[in-house]
Amino acid sequence: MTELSMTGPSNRRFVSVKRRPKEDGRFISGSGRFVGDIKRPGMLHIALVTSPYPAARILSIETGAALALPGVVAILDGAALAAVSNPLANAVHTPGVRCYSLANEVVRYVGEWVVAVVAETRTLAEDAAELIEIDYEALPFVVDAEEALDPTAPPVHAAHGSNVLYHRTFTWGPVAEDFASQPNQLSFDLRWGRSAPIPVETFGVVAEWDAGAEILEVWASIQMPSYGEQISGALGIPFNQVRAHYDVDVGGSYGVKRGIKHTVLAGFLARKLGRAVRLVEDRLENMVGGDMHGPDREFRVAVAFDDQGLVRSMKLRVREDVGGHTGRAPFQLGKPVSAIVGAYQINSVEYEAIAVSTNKTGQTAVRGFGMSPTNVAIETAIDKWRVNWGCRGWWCASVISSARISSLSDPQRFGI
Amino acid sequence: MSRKISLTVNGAALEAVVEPRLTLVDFLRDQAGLTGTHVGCEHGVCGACSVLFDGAPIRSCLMFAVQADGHAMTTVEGLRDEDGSLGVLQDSFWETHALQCGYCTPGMLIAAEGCCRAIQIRPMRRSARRSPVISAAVPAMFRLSKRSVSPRPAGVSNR
Repeated sequence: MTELSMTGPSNRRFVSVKRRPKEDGRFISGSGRFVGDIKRPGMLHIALVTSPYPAARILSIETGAALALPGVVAILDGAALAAVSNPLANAVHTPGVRCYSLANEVVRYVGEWVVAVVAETRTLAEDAAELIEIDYEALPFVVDAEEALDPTAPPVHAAHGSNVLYHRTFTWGPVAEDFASQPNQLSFDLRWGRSAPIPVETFGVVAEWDAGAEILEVWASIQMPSYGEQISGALGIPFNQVRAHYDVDVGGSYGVKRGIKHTVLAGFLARKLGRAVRLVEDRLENMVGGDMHGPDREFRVAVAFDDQGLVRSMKLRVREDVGGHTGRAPFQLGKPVSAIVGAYQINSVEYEAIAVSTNKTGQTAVRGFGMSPTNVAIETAIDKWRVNWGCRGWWCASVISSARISSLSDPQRFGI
Repeated sequence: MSRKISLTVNGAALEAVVEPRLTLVDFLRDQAGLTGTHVGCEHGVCGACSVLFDGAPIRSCLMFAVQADGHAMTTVEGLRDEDGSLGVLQDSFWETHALQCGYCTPGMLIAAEGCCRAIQIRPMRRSARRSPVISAAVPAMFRLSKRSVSPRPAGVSNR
């Protein structure tokens, strides 16, 4: 058996040797390669016209003055895009819910993209975007998930028939029996409010269609898996015709840099126009209609403890406010299924997940894909149980700590 | 409507014709080709776009290029020593890994450079030491000025 020494100089090349991170060299010299630094020959620029309404029907879009501006190459609206592309995937079966990069027929949240303007420079594209006139008919809207559950609430996706996008109860073990046999019970409500992580670098993408090889080249501020698959699915081209360049430096993400709607839009336009197209959000586009919202959940938690303070059973009911676009919610409600008891050994669990549409901004994958709210619910249950049973004062923290440790899974179950 | 401007960027004289509405950061990136300066919040809060303006740090997203007419800028590309090697401050940031994604690092370097220039005439103020990473990097600069540095990764030259 090798004897490990904790002291003395290391004779290893990497471990315990002070070394400089290789990538720092380009960052401290100003020679990083972020998406905003990528230039392609003849590259065009996109600017966006966004919705000022949480819910409205698009009656007409007047683009004549914008198209007449020198340097403007193309203008695209949602109807034209929906006619030739597939809805963006959300990984859950939601019949009648069709989301595209641009709003089609109706808008469902403030900031939703309605029209894309393509011009020789970003400045020209923004000038042209200001000349586009859109006539809306304002519709009733709903921004509270509880109200959205009411059958008389305004429908966010009318073709779906209901604002409930997903409703399923998962049960592991004898929940009813465990609750019946444990007199020590506790229930409470918990709210996880929306957060909006804002990277210093906004999301950006450059797309170029290689007509000879028939490949869509994509450079983006991206680090998510299944990026190319989702782009090809929406554009209706085989996956092996999308080449995502993953060597682009990313200026922060927190998980929100998903960029599917951005890339589908830029990719579609690049292929249609035969020129490289760039869409780099400005800060307004990023903070109003970009990918930046995290989970928005209300929990009802019930736990049953035995006399030793060990959690025997738990019921979690969670209502997720998805917003107007399906994006990464309601799929994110599924992540807790794989880690529903956290670090604890709990005999039985019931998990009821409900995803509801409202006229808010859609969600994306913030920090661990939807698990954090569930962890808070579980840890809060342990805290509340101890306080509820008279554990107050200076020694409370150590008692809570020991409750956590005694409820933890037996290390031997992991083969440690 | 465009105007002709003359300015000095990293010691080199530049002349350009710009629209009055063009921001200084867009000018530096798109017309001067210096993409080391990054656009961050676009409203003067984050500091990622900082450059030295006549020797003092300013936010280049809050200035128009025409306002730089007749003035001297230093960007992150201009922080190298005269012989082209990395500046002591850049080397210190690398030595202490004073960054994460690197996007705002040019702004951090410019702010620290401004700070170091200022302390030649007065002690560094406490506020400049608040960030634990930067507060490690700046003292490291003084240490590194003796040039006892840890090895750079193989194949990475002192560009």
